[in-house]
Amino acid sequence: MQEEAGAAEVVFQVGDEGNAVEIVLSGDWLLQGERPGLEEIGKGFEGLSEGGKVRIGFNGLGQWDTGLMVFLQECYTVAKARGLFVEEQGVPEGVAKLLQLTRAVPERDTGKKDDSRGLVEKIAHDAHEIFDGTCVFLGFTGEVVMGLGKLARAKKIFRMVEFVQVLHQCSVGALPIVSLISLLTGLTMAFVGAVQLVQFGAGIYVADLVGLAMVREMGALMTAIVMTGRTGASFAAHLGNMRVSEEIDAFQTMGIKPVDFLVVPRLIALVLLMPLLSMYANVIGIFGGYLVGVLMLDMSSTQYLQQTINALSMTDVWTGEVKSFFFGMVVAASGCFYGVKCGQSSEEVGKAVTRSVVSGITFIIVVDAMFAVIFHILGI
Amino acid sequence: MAKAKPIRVENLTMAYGQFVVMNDLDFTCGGGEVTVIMGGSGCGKSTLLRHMIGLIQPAKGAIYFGDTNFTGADEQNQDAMKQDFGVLYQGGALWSSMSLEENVALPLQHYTRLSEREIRNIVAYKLSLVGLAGFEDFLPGQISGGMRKRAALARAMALDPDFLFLDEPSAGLDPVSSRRLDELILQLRNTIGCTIVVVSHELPSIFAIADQAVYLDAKSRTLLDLGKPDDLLARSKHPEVVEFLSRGEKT
Repeated sequence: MQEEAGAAEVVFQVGDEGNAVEIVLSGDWLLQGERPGLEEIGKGFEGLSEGGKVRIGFNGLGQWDTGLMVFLQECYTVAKARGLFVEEQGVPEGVAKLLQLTRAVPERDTGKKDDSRGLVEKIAHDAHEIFDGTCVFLGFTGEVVMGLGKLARAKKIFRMVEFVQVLHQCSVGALPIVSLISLLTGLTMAFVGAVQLVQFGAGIYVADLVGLAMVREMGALMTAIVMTGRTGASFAAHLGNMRVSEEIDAFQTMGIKPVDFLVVPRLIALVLLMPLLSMYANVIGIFGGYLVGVLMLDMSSTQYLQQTINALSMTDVWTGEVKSFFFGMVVAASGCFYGVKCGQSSEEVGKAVTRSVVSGITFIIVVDAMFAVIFHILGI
Repeated sequence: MAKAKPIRVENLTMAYGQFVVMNDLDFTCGGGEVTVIMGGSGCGKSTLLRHMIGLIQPAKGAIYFGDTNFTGADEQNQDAMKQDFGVLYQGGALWSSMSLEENVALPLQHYTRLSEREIRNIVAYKLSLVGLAGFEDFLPGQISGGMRKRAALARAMALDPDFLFLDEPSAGLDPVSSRRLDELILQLRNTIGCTIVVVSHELPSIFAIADQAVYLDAKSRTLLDLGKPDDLLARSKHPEVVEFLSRGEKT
């Protein structure tokens, strides 16, 4: 703004009338250059008691930009905190105008700055938030149940076109990734199992290992995890974006329940399709094991398949299927809940997607563990 | 045409948690009139609109549609009353996975027993009203911002609502499109006879369409003045209102 005049400099002088300080600013005050900071201001104001005066003056001020304004703002903030009065003398016109602008609209008390909570208060606040979150989720669950109730009474609550699109997204669209992950899971289990079992001359039991592990556990579990990352995240992102663009508000102001229209079809689609996808994953996983058995362990196709059939019972099959039904609920609920309850910014959409995936996978593991205990107690 | 009902906002206090946005708002939007809610950015205009359409519950006070207390009604009754609302959101808020025809048709399918053919005819009529005849099969992402707003207005009018709420209808539009939209709003008031509430800070629009303007002040967090925009400009006792309506030229 003016010709270069050297580095930024501030001189604090004790005022004549006592309990006063004169600050004289000179040199270039640029954001990129060296500037005195808060510490210097603190030192300069030492010795002043409440009601003291701070007089700010300028002498040989060179170039200046936001760097100077930030320093002045800091002076005012520190002075205000210590109960000091600030006077300005000989303020350059540009600086004065900018100061005037910053004071044109007084700071509003938005109640958002007070973060001076103690540890106990923070814990209480977090506990309160968790309680609130649980209440909101219970409310959401209630809305979903009511939506399903309306559907059971043959009331049309969503568009069939929408439902078919979701069905397609959750089935055909998911097949390639489910196939790949299941095949690799089957292959990996067979490899690991073969290394150990062959040492005891029990290579044939690779078929039992892969078959049982896939059908009882890994088929449903891996499918659920893949679907959380793929479909659950997609639900959260889609519904979150609808929240940001006020599309969900548009449903609400028309008296149409967003949960009925958007969540129920997604939940039904996933609950219906997860057992089918899980069954498909089982077949592909067993095929992975078959490849290792036939190509690495020199077993015949008939031998491997017969061994697998002998190892499996219908109980094994339906335990996996029952789990996948519940996994479907978890994936749909976490994706839709975080999407529908998303905040109204793009950052919130990102957070909603992350939360849906993290909570989805966590609850899948929790549900899986619960089933393990239940099946153990039932002796299945 | 049924007699248009007024909207009465009674001692309304709006707050986000501890933060009070507006205190004790008290005014009436005349039946069959256009009321513009105006004020500086961030003063709470859109928040007031969101209270009026039931998206936010007030901290205190009530909103009456005709003689019915909307904010005091239970969720079921509120949903039933919302059938009489048409809302145009700032960004249009068209459902992005549906074509324009499906967007406008959805409220009709949801609330009426009209045949598919009748619904198609109504949709075509509403879209032609806003100058979008022939765009039935377009998705919202395939049309311009101005067209999206007009399509959203067609959707808002789908059920011939008693109350039409428009959130910054001309924001982001070029002056010609903005003027056309203003004319359309006036035509709607004159022909359908609904009560229209518009949130705006576009001065040409305010002067063109408002039967009554309500000025919200962020500093005092309340309603400062209300009346016809010309009268406010000429006679308001509040310098903030005059400054706003004269674009800062008169204080």
